[in-house]
Amino acid sequence: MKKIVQILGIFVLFIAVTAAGNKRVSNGSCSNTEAKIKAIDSLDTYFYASSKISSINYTYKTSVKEVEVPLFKGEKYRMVFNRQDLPKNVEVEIYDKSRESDGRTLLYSSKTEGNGSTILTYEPKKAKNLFINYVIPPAQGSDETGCMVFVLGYQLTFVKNN
Amino acid sequence: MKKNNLIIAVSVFSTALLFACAEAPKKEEVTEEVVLEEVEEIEDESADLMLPSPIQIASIFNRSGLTYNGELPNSPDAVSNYNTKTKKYLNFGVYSADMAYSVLNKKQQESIDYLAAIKKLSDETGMDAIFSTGNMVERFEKNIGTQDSIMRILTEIKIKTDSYLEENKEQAKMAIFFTGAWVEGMYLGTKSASGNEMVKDRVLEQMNILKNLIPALRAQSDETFDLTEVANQLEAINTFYQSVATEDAEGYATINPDDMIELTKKIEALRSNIVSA
Repeated sequence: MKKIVQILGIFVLFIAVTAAGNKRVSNGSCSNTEAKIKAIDSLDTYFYASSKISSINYTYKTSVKEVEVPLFKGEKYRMVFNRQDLPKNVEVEIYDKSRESDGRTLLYSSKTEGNGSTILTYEPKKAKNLFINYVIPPAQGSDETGCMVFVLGYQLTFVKNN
Repeated sequence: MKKNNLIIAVSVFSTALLFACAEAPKKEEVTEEVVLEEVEEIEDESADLMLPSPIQIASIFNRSGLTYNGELPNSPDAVSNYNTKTKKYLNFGVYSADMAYSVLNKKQQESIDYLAAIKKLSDETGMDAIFSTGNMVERFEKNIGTQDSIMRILTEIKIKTDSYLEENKEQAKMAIFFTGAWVEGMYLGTKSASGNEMVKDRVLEQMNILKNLIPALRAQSDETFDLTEVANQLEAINTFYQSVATEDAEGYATINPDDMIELTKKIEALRSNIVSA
């Protein structure tokens, strides 16, 4: 019987730790440096340009959050998304036009190209303004939130003999 | 004793179940929500803007043939003149652009002086954490002759600045730094664009950012900043540009030389307002 009590005690501890872990993600604070560092590491040889850490709020319906990314002509970029601080996967879609525009083209979708990975990378073929849509699934409980880390890198080239 | 243990075990298990039920969603709720999901709801908010890197903008201008003119950047000695929070934040951005301009043109002493000005402003605005680790000033001075190493240190400063603002929930302030850097970059670009079509094209490409930057600047919730005049000037520049810009056959923006001169004057006036004491 003593063993049963011990096992159940460990079980309670496990549940409490898991609950505390969930709260860390769901307290709405998006300042997890670990997730950002991992995303920066995935830039590989690209130089860090900027980052956008978005607070994701899961509502009762699927919702979409849009981020506009200005990219400059002729430049080479890599986009990295880290989904580690999301209680449920948010799908990433990248378009050539904003959601308010007609006839926009889907350039990337994590659903088909992400293989369910936590870290997603995308290198646009043509540098021009792109629109990232985070497709947020419905909440399964109340007050669900998380953080999406997005880091942009660019290929730096120098002028020789200047 | 055995009975007591059983009671404890049942109590502990019940408590565990209560914890689990409090955190996990109920099955009935999930089923109901899946039904509601049929119609996709779009969040009723405008798109967030990812601000570009001022270092990259300087690099793009540099590769377009922007020649160095030591008369143009803001003097690092002027750093002591900035006494308001607004001026300190805006000129942190201005000096970031000037430092990148100096580094890319291999102006070593100027680069070191701009780094000192940026460090002073970061200390005065409570962002001393940016330079408190990593021996960045020492590494910068040691590697000043190696452009690649210096660009990596500048990038490290950018990462630390962004992270500082994120960790302190002050991401909105990135727009103020960026405004200073953008205006300085555009000032350096427009002053050198005459006779250089590549620089001119790059200047016009940058104008695209304004439509999102202005609302970001106006949305500052910290009332201790006085950004109305700067936002109004940016608005006037954007309105003028939108009224004169046309698209060429490839869909890229173009404006006639007279309008370019007018645009240069408007940017110069705004820049003068930002760098004045």
